[in-house]
Amino acid sequence: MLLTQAFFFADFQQSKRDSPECKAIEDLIDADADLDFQRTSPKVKEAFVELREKIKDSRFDVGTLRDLALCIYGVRNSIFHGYWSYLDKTRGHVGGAQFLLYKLIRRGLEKQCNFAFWEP
Amino acid sequence: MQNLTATFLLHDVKVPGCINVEGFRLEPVPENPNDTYLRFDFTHTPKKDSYFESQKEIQLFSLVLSVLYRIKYPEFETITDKSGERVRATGRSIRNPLQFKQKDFDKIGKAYTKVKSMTGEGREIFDFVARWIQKASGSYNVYDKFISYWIAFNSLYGHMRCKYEWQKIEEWVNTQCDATYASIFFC
Repeated sequence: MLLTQAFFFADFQQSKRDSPECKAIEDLIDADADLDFQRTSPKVKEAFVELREKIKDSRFDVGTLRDLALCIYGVRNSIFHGYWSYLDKTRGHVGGAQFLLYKLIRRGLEKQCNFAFWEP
Repeated sequence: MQNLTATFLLHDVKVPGCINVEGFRLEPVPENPNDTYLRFDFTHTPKKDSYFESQKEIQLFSLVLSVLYRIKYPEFETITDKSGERVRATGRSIRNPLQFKQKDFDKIGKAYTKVKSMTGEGREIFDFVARWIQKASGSYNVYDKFISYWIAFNSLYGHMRCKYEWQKIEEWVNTQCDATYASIFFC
């Protein structure tokens, strides 16, 4: 498990496209083409652009995580406001976004509830 | 009284045999040893509202497992009595299954006990997130899954004191994450 889930960045840089994390990020970035930016916050639009740039340049930091969270927020807006439907091609993008969102929640719990003591 | 057992499926998790941890039973799936059944027998739960309480315990234990080992939240399989037929695990592509050993069971038990003894806001967050994550895991529709996860996520960033939601999310990431945290997020 540790081998499959570890070293996302290394995976990405080595273009191991079968990694679910890579697939999810690519899905999310592809999703910006399907988002109607006229209806989306400029900040979210900016986050999609920045995430694409950072991933292209392999610059991964807290800002990457923030951009990622805002991109997921963009997906949330598109679903909540009805711009993405249950039947169209956005299904794949939502799958990627929910996968990353779950990771964000898990990490949030670890940090927010001081779970670091669990680690060896 | 019926002998009731709730069964969940842990994908890509291997256990050496049947093991009891904090009232839960982990056992290999006979048809697929790379998967594990997580069972909880709530027949003899002493409280009156035993079903509700048991459900909360299952949610909490599943979340502890998921957070500790970064594995998928266990999928609900069935509630059955001892004479009932078990639902067969369907075949899935196996990557590298996680193999639990004795030290893992000790760690899980310790973490679960710690979470159960939590009080105040921390415990509230845990219960809330656990409930919505279980809802997500029980849904086969990707949109419904996403919305359930979002509700859970909202409870984490929602208390940030900013005007707009996107600002709260930014603030949450900025205050919760440092460089090390950001790097391990993708691990």
